[in-house]
Amino acid sequence: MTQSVTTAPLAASARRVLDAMLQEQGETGLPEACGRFEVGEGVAGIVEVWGGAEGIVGVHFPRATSERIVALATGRPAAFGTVNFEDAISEMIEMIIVGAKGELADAEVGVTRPRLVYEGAIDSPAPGVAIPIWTECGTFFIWTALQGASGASADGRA
Amino acid sequence: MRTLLVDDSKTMCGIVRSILSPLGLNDVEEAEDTAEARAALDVAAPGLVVIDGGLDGALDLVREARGRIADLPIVMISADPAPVASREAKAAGASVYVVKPFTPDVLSQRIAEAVDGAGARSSRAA
Repeated sequence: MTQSVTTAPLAASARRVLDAMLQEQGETGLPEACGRFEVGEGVAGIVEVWGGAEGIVGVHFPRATSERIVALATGRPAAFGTVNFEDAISEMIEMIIVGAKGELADAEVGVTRPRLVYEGAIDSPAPGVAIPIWTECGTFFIWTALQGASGASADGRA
Repeated sequence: MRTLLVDDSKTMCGIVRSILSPLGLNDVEEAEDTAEARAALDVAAPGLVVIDGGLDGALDLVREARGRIADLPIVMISADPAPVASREAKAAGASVYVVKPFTPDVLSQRIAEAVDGAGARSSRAA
């Protein structure tokens, strides 16, 4: 599966955030279609999208990756799930998603602030795609499940 | 010079403070929303405002601060790279608009631009 019109701008935005804020290089893997997003032992920031496209976009960090990224962003460790941890990880997630907002659809979209989810799974409201981003801090994932996204398909087919 | 830093993220406040400090801007008052920022503006005029463009009422606060102090350097930081967002910020009175993510060098340079620009405007007005 090639990168889709929705995952490509999000992956590019994630790499910009890593480079500028953390001086880390990110490498993008191939997207995989999925019907639900598994949080497992980690944290995901979910943003609802409306307007030119409808659905959800998220960023999922396995626990170890999230802890390393927060430590790098803030210059000190923050225990998983604490207020300081949530503040830092939410800021990173918001930067990634808002940075790509203008490229998610042909028409303007609105997005909510990230809602953090720590366990379980999130049912995809539309055909979903997960794409891995590999970094020195570990792997994390971009999730998209959007109807009416930019281009003909939001399901991972470019 | 006192800086009023308006941002609800402690992480971003820490990052911005670390960039202000090498510029000699160590007197920083933080406000986590626009109401707190208004209260701070009522008490004393800052020499620089750095504001998160994602806050509710951010543009209104910029208009109000600009209305009170014509040559106040105002730096708006936002994750939104859309040109329209930058135009709206400038129209409201922001001196510069900086898109997140930024490197320390970029933010430092834009803050210096805002402060120097305000100084030049003051000199011309005098």
